[in-house]
Parts: sequence; C-alpha cells; structure tokens
Amino acid sequence: MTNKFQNQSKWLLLVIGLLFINQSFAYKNNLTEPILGQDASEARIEQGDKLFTANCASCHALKKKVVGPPLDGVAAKYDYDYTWLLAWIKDNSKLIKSGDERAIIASEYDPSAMNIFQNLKDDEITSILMFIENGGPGNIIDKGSNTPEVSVISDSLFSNINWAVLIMCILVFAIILLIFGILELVSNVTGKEIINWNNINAYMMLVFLIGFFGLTIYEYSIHYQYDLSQFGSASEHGVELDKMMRWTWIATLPVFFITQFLLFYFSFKYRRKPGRKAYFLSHNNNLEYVWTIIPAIVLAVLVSGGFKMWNKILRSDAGKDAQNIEVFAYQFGWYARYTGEDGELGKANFNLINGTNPLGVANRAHATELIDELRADILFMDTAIINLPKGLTKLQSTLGGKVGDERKKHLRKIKEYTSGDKLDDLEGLIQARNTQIERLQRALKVKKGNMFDGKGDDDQVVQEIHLVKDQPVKLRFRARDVIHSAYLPYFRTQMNVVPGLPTQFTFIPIKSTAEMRKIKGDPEFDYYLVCNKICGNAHFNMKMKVIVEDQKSYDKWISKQSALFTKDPKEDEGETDENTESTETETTETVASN
Amino acid sequence: MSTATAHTDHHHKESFISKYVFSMDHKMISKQFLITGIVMGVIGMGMSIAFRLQLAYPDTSFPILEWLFGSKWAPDGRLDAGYYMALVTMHGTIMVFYVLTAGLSGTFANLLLPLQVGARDMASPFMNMLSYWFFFASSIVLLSSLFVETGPASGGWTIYPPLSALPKAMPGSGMGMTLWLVAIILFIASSLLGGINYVSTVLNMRTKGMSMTRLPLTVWALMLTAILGILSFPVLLGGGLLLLFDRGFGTSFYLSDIYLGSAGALEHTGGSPVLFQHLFWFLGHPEVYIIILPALGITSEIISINSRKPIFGYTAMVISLLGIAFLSFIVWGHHMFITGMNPLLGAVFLVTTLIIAVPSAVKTFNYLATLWRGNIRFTNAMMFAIGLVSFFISGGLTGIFLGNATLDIQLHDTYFVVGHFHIVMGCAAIFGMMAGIYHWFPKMFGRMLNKPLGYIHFWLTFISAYVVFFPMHFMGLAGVPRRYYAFTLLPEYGVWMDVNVVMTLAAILGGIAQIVFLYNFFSSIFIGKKATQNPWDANTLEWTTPVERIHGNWPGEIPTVYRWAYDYSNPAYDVDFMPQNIPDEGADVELFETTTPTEPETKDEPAKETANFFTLIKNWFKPRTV
Repeated sequence: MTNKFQNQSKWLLLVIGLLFINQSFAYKNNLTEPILGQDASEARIEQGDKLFTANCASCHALKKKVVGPPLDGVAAKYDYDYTWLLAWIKDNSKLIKSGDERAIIASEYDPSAMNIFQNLKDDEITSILMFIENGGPGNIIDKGSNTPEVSVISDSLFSNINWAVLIMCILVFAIILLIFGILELVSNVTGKEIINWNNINAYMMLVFLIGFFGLTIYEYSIHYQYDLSQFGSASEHGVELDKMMRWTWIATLPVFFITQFLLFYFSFKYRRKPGRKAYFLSHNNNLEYVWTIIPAIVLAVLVSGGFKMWNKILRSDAGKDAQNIEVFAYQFGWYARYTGEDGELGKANFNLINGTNPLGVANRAHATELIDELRADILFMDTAIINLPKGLTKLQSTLGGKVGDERKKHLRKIKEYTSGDKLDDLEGLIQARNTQIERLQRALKVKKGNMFDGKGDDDQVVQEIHLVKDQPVKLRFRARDVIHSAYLPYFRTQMNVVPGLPTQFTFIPIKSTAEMRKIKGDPEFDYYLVCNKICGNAHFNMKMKVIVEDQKSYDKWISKQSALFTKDPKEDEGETDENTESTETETTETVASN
Repeated sequence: MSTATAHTDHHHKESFISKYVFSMDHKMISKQFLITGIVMGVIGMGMSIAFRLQLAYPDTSFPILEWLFGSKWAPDGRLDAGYYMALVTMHGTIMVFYVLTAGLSGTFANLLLPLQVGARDMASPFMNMLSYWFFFASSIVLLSSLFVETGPASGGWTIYPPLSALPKAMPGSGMGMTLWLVAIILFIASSLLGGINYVSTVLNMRTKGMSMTRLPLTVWALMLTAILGILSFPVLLGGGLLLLFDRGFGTSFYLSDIYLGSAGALEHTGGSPVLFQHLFWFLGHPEVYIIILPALGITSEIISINSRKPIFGYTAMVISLLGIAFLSFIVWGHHMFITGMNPLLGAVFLVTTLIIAVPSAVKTFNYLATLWRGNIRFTNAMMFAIGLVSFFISGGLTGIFLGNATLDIQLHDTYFVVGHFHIVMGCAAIFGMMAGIYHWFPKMFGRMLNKPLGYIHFWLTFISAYVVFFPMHFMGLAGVPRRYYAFTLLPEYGVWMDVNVVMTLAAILGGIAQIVFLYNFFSSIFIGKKATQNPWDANTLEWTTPVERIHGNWPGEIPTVYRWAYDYSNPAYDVDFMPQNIPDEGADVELFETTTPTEPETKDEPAKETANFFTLIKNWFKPRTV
C-alpha cells in the first residue's frame, strides 16, 4: 500500500479538494467489479461521492492523510474483503471488541478513533466504497474546475531551479555589497558622502505613500466584491450589523488616510537640510486636548452603538418564541436536532452517547441497553487485561526479522506493554465505564425532573439545517468533545460550542437560499455552517449545509425526517437521517448474500 | 547573591565562562537575550514560510519540506494537516513569547535600564543572569518538543482545553503539549525574575537628579512592561499548572461533559473550558501590551532624536502609557465575546476595550507632532520607527472593528483578526525591535551596522509585511476562517488562492530581507565601522559611557542628571542637543506644569553601589529625606 502510494506521487499533485469542488465530474466506463454483490453505476458513485463528502471527507481524503489514512486502494489493503470494510465503517469499536485482528491493528493507527456510522445504510456504505474504488484520479476527468491551476507547479520547479535561484540571489547580494563597499571607500577617501541616503529615503517615503494608497485602493476595488456586506445579510440583525460596520469604516478610513499621509508627508517634507534647525516644541496642551477628546467622542459613539446592538442581539427576549434547534458539534462534523411534534427538545447527556445515539438524547430503553453495552465493554477489557502477558509474548516472539520503522513501531508497542501504559489505559477505561454506569443508574432513578421524560423520543437528528424564512430560530449549541465554533458568515452569526457549557444564538433568517443564489449569481451556492475554532487536525473540514426555504418546503422536508426513538423497541437503532429500517438485520442479509 | 555586590569599576579577572556564558553584566545578558531572540525569530519565521507554502500551494510538492520535517510530517513534500497546526502553534508561541517578549524587552530592558537611569548594573545581577538562563532552558524545552513522536503542541498558541488537555483528542496534545507547558512555566519564571529586577532598578537605582519626570520614555515603557508582566504572568502560570493537573492527575478544572470517540464518556465533570480562557487572556491581553509598549518606548526615543526635536507632549506620553498599562488589565474579555461568556460581560469589555483606543490615538498624534517641523535624519533606526508608527495606525484602526463586540460576531477568528494582530502587534513590535537594534548596536558591540544594507532591509521588510498582512483584512471581511489547512471542502474560498500565492511570495521576500539583516548584524559585530561615543548626538546617559563597554558602565563617577532627556534644538543653547549630564547654567526652560526642581535633587538617594536584595528592600522603605 505504501509503495503504491509513493509510486503515484505524480498523482498526489492533484489536490483531493478538486474532487469535491465541482459536481460535474465524469467517470470513465471501466468501473470496478461489483461491490457486495451490487453493480457500480455512475449514479451510485455520485451518491457515494455525496455521502463521502458529508460523512468521511472531514477526516479522510483519497490520496492524503488528513486525520485518518488515505483511502485510495483501501479495498486492496484488506484483500477486497468488503464485508469486513462495511462492518468496520459501521461500527469499528464493535469490530475491535469482537477481537478482530485486523481491526485491532487498524485501531492502533492513531490515538483518535474513527467515528461510528450506524446512521448509514449498507447500500449507502456500498456506494461510498464504489466511489472510493472508482474515484481514483485515473478514472476521473475533471470537467473545468474553477479552482486556480495551482497543481501545475511541479516539484521540479523547486528541485531543479532552486539552486539556480539561490546562486543568483547570492550573486546579486554580493554585487550589492561590493558596490556599497566601493562607494563607502570612495566617500571615506574623498571625505564626501557620495549617496545622499537621507534624500533618497525621504523621496522613497513619498513614493511609498503613493504606492501604499494606490495599492490599498486597487486592492479594495478587486476584493470588495467578496465582502460579505456586498450580498446583504441573510439575517435580520445582520442588516444592522452591516450598517454598524459601514459607520465604523466611515469613522476609521479617513483617519487611516489622513494619519498615514501626514506620517509619510512629514517624513518627506521635514527631511534634514543643511542649515535647518528643528522647531523646538515640547507640548501644546490645547492641541493634545483636541486629539484626546475627538477620538474619545467618536469612540463613545461607536461604543454606545455597539453596546446597544450587542445587547439587542444577544441579550434580548426575542428568542422566547423562536424555533429551537440544537446544533451538535463533534470531531469532525455537525448534527442538528429538531424538536419533533411536541415542539420541545428532549434532554440529552454526554453519558448517553453511543453509536446509535450520537447526541446522547435521553431515552429509557436506550439507557438500559447502553448499560448492558457498557458492562459488556468492561468484560471485554477485563479479558484484555488478562490477555496482556499473552499479547506481550506474542509481540516479543514476532519481533525478530522486523527492520527499520517496522521494528521501531514494534518495539514501541512492546514498551507500551512493559511500561504498564497499556494496563493503565485499560484500567482507566474500565473505571470510566463504571462511573458512567453509576451515573446512568442514578439518572434512571431520579424521581423529580427525570431526564427520561420521553420528550426526546420524537426528536429528529439530521445532518443538514433547514430554516424557515422570516421565522426566528434559536440555535442551541452543544459539543461532544472539544470546543468548536459555529460560524454562519452569511447570517452574521457565530457562537462557540463548548463541552459542558450550552450556548445559544437567536436570529431571523431573511433571505432564502434561492434568493441568495440569485444575488450571488451562483446557482450552486449554499449557506454553510463551518467550524471556526481550532478543534483538531481536520478542523478545516467541518461543515454543515444550511438551507433557508419557505414554510411549505420546510414542512415537506421535516415530515420526511423520522423520529429518533420510535415506539417499537425493535426499531430503536440507527434512525438519524432518513433511515428507519433496522440496520442490524440488513447487515446480516448483506453478509449472507456475499 | 553576595557575588552581586562586586560592582566597582575596577576590573577583576574574568574567565571565558564568567564573561560570555554565566555573565552577570547587564550588557552581556542583553546580548544573550538578543541573540537567542534572533535565533528563535529565524525559526519562527521559517515555520511561517513553511505553512504559508501550504496555504498558497496546497497540492504542490516541496521536497525541501520533506527534507526539513521528515517524511512523517511532510510526506511527499507536502505538510501533514496535523503538522500544519503544529507549525502554526509553534510559530505563534515562539513569536509572542520568545521573540517579542523575551527578545524585545529582555534585550532592551537589560541594556537600557541601567544605562539610561545611570546605574552600574541591575539591582540584582544574579537574578538577571538566572532570568536569561531560565529563558534559555525554556527555549530548549520548547524546541525539543519538535522532536517528540506525536509532534509539538498543535492546539493553537492559545492552547484552549479540552483540546490541549486530552492527548486522545489530537496527537499534538500528547507529549508535545506537556513540553509546551513546561517551557512556558520556565519562561514565566524567567520573565518574573527579569521583571522584578527591572522595576527595582528603575525605582531604586536612578542616579542623582534622575527624577521620574526626567526618565527617557524607553525607561517608562520598559518599567511599565515589567509591571504588566509581574502582575499578569503568574495568572498564566496558575492556569498552566491547573492544565497540567487536568492532563496528568485527573482533576477537572477545565473539563466537563466530554465524550471522546476513542475513550467514550470521560469521568470529568464540573470544570469549565471558559475558565481557562479567562486565565489565559488575563495574561494574554496585557501580553499584547508587554510586546508593544517597549517598541513604543524605543520609537519615542528614536523619533525624537532623529527629528532633532523633543518628543511632543512628554507628559501626555507618560500618561497614555500609564493609561494603556492600567486599561490592559480590564479588556481581556474582548478575546472571548462569543466564547459562551455571559453577554453582559461582553458588553462591559466592549466599553473598556474601545476606551483603550484613546491613549493609543494620543500616542500616534504625538508622534506625528514630533515629526512636524523637525529636521529629520533617516538613520536605519528612524526608518523602522516610522514603519512602526505606520503599522500602529493601520493595525490600531482595525482594532476598533474587533473591539466592538457586535462586529466581532462576524469577524472573530477570521483572517481579519490575523491581519489585525500581525500588523499592530507583530510587525509594529518587530519594527520597534529592529529600530532598537539599529540604534543601540554601537552601544552593544562598539561598531556600526552597515547603513545601505539597513535601508534595503527596511524597505523589503516594510513592503513585504504590508503585502502579506493587508489583504488578510479583505479575506476576513469575506468570512474566511483562520487556521484552515486547506479549503478542501469549502470551494467558495478558492477565490483567495491567488491572493494566498501573492502573500506567500511576499513572505518569502520578507524572509530574504531578514537574511540581509542577519548578514549585516553578524558581520558588523566583527568588521563594522568603529563607533564613536555618541554617534547619534543623543542626550540620554548611555551615550556618556565609553565605547569600550566596561564593567560598571562608567569609569569614574556616575554622571549627575540636570535636565530631561529631550532637549533637542532647544533655542536656549547653541548646539542642537544637550545631554542630560551637562550641568546647567541657570538657563533651563520650564518644561512641565508640575514644578521640576531646576537643581539636582539632593534628597534623592545616590545610586546604589550594592545590589543586595535586602539592602534594596531596606532602601525602598527608608524615608527619603536626608
């Protein structure tokens, strides 16, 4: 795998991002063999592409390590055992616990584990696999991507030319040194300064001033079109925020131009001249009062404006009647939770999170099941502790014959066993599980204000936010692991998502996606919620689509979303997006069909 | 500490180690700080160029990166996503703490405080030496984290937990993070040892006649910087220790309600990640002024000297320094407007933050007024000082946007912020440092720097810095988030690729400019033109010391001060400058509203010849009447 990966280094020049930038990729006809008994088709690959972007791309790329390993050729790596891959993708922790050797090896790749995707149907995972297997660059013809052609700069530019460039730089530098050296010698001999540096620099100040202002205006003229205020705010408070931004520009831009002008102009005008004596002026109180009081007044105006608006946006009661939507951040993606029919978000707790319930929404049946699951976990880890010496012996016996990095890795693994780190880790996990069980049991027994009030049963967990135009919405943020930040630039909305500290933001969307597409002249445009607080290696890949539409389309969409916990306990698993089928049975079916 | 008392002007035998390594001479220590700072600066800048290459050419292979970082962190010549974060983090840490805090105030406080107040050395030379060696150890620990298996700290230089607290959340939060914390703890120790020393030197060891109102502005700035550091660094120390506890001993100061993919639900409850942010920014914001105040002090001095005019509004300058120093303690919340902090607090911090713009504006206008009708001499130092003022204006104005909580909702953590702080705090402070190096190089090494090379260095750096950081404001206004490795999943931001290329090329140009400087600096130490005693015709006391830079600073008695430091082009005299130590013939001009005694203050304690800590304390409490 590694060799293949390196041999294809030329292809590595193709940024993986290109694959997702444009939907208009065409796939060659030589598609792979059927995967899991299903034929690959362009439609399936396209579906896989979309699913890959939504679920996998935040941590994986085809050709490059992001957080997880590159996925190109992953099937070959696992001997085209698609059944195994499917089980791994679905719930890798289950597979690891089942003692699967390949799974255990794969799990040691990185300290951060892969997320669980029980929300994906087998068909969908198959599509993703089809996309991965057929998505190699050899099979993709890029139909006019709009990214600048950065990929054409080849490595040869920096391996062949760099010596020439380096030598040239040194030569130029040496010549400059030589010239200055000669000039200085001459001026030393003649006792006169050959170059009037003072004048040169004074004029340079003037040149810089003109260039600086010219470039500032030029830059403004080409980049102002991307300024978010050009498209108008998509939220109500954003309109006023834009206004405030404009006023701040009006207050600061003249100051910028005047003071910079004075700085460079004075530097030029009052350059040293023979015979001039500087004007002795130590202070002038009136002048100083003026330039203390004027900025103070301007700033007071800005402060009061900002103060008022800040209170209006973040401290108003407007959120009382707003629609509640929970936004949940995890490494590395987002979920949203809608209230369902009862109009209330059920309580949720981090102790309840598992593969089937990624948001940890309270449900009595789920909690009981989870306790069992955790107990099984503890049992598994107890066995693992007992087996530690065996594992060590095995590792030690297989050490011989390994060389280089492989050997180093192996030795490191052995050290984990001998130093007791492995044991500590397992014991810590067991302790954490026990605490979790205790907490769950306590929570189940609470009489007053029990979190298992059934209000979460009809909640809908989705991976796309749909908002109704002109209707206030209160986004309530919750994080699973580390701090994230929900940034919605077009809505002028941003709030950190902090584990252990629920935050919220209320706003009214006033421009639908369709309207914004028209304004931007881009039929492909979509609002996105992106992460704006460093949260790990794949921070740059965390996004969720936000769609603003009218009530009718919203109703249509929301009615298609299924409740998180249906009444039938058999179907308690895996309903996140659009799937209500029991995934468990399907897995067995597919496995059987293979 | 008893060795510290050996501060007489006779020469005692010095071995190589006591002279160059474990030196207690403030001038040598300042050189040690400077050179360590330069080394760290080169590393920090190199890192920034490496990750700027990634931003501009995300899909191009640069074999040099693989050669530098190894195939693990830059496979096939392209940076790994995690290592990109690590480089960003290390760049921030190195630049903020190691270059602009220790490299800037460490160098110039050590060099200038004793020389400008008229003291033979620091109050405690031994502590001063410790301060440097703690800094050195800290640098080594920090750099060693580049070589650990899981890579250096990579949660951003602000190291917000839980990301930085959980090794399972990110590889960089493993051993690398522990080393980062240890390095910062050592650094804080260094900073406190230095800071206490600086403050006590200024307060206790001024020479005869050097009243507080006659102090050069550099001394004011450096002293206030030291006070800021003494008051704020311990808070970070506390915060860092608690983070170490959370990482190693299972406490929950900052951790609560966490489920990790690889470990399940964690046991921690009851902590608050926002608590760390408060502790961090309680240092973090004063830190910004710790960085910029010395630069402003240096600029005040250099602009005045080279305009051949007194600094305009000395009193206002001092008051605004005091104002900035005080206000800097009550504005930290503006880094946290949208972190989930109570919005009421946000409103309070909004008010205090924008108030701090007033003293900053006063300083700018006073600089302009100093230039007005001057007789400007464009020495290298003067160029950099003018550059600093330009950056201070540009970056200060964008600060008005970010300080406004409402606008911060949109601009927080976008490239607007990156542009803002790099200009106002990064470039401005670096320019202040450069100005100081060019100005006081003759005092440090007894030789002059090459002037033409200095000009080349200035113009290349000045232009490239603006080209790198100015477009970032537009990116921020378009909503481009910072700390993004690539725009893989956000093709909308692809329009900024060509801007990124321009910025990267400018950054490389800036890097080349620094090579010019490095050549100039290190070659001039040995082959530079010999300096005269007072090459800039300056008034302050450091130029009354001999070029040979002797131990104890002045061969004979310490000079007495008769006037303020800014008597340039005073019509009362025939010459265009009047050093502070020249006795007055009764023609002193009344410069202040407050009555400054025209005669040397006899009631002032003479400069302390001994620097014993207890003597200092005793003297401090002794009634100041004779």
